[in-house]
Amino acid sequence: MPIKWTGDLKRFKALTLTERAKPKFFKEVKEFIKDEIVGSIERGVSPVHKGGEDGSSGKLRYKDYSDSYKRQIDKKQLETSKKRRPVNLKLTGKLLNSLKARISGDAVKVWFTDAKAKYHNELGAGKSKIIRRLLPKTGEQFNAGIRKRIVKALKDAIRLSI
Amino acid sequence: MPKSNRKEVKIEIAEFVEDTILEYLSRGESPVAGERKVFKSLSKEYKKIKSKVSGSSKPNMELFGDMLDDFESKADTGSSITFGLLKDASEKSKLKAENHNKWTSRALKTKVPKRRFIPKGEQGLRKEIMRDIEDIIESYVPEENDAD
Repeated sequence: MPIKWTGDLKRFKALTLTERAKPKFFKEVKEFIKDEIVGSIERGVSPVHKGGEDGSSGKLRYKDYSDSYKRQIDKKQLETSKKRRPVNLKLTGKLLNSLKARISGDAVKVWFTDAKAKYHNELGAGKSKIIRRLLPKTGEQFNAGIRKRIVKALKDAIRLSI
Repeated sequence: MPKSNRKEVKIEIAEFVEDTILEYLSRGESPVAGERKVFKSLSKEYKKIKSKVSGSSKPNMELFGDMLDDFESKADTGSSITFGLLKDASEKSKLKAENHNKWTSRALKTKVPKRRFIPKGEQGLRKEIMRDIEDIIESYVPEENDAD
């Protein structure tokens, strides 16, 4: 039985194209998003838009470690050979290794399983409760570099679906 | 491009440029067109010092990190963005950047090797960065069909 489409044909085509592109897009994002996030943190840059200092300072780079933490680093009182720079939230590597990504319905979900993530991202770490953002919250964005990569993945997925 | 998008695209580009330059520097590379891509490696003596302090023996422009902490990029008035060590940067950071970038005759006289990360005069950013900037601008330009 023929189907009669009475709506806007352009919109219909765009919608079906988006639906076809989605699986490719999600698969692609899942493949690179962890590397992008960890890569950004490792060079001392927050993956979150303006997330380097308390999420509102407009800085991309993470705020410097506290003087007391730097003293611990200098005196080699920590469990690894941690250095002062970059400020990469990496001591044992457990936090960054705990990043997970999964395709879930109409989204790619990304989260840290290590409990320290909550302190860095929301509650504040150390005595001075410094927030160094790791992941965007609802309504927030990734930094421009990661956004650019996501947009490219979307364009590629659409091109492959035409 | 609609006026309403202009400010937004400038902010997007400013943040992208800042992030990209920092990324190049973290790899020990220059983001500036016409400059040697990989920075000259550090001297043996300085490598030892830097490795002890910062944990990296790469020429990533980060010993104590204060210079790069002061590096920023901002959307300007008109159709431009500004990046570098801007008015809020400390004098020390500005001097370090001047010496590394070799912008002035005073900087040329210092022994600091040239590792330029901010373009001088007519110089621009590397073409791959410029291409990405064009992509960002393009993504803000409405397609003809959007008006339908």
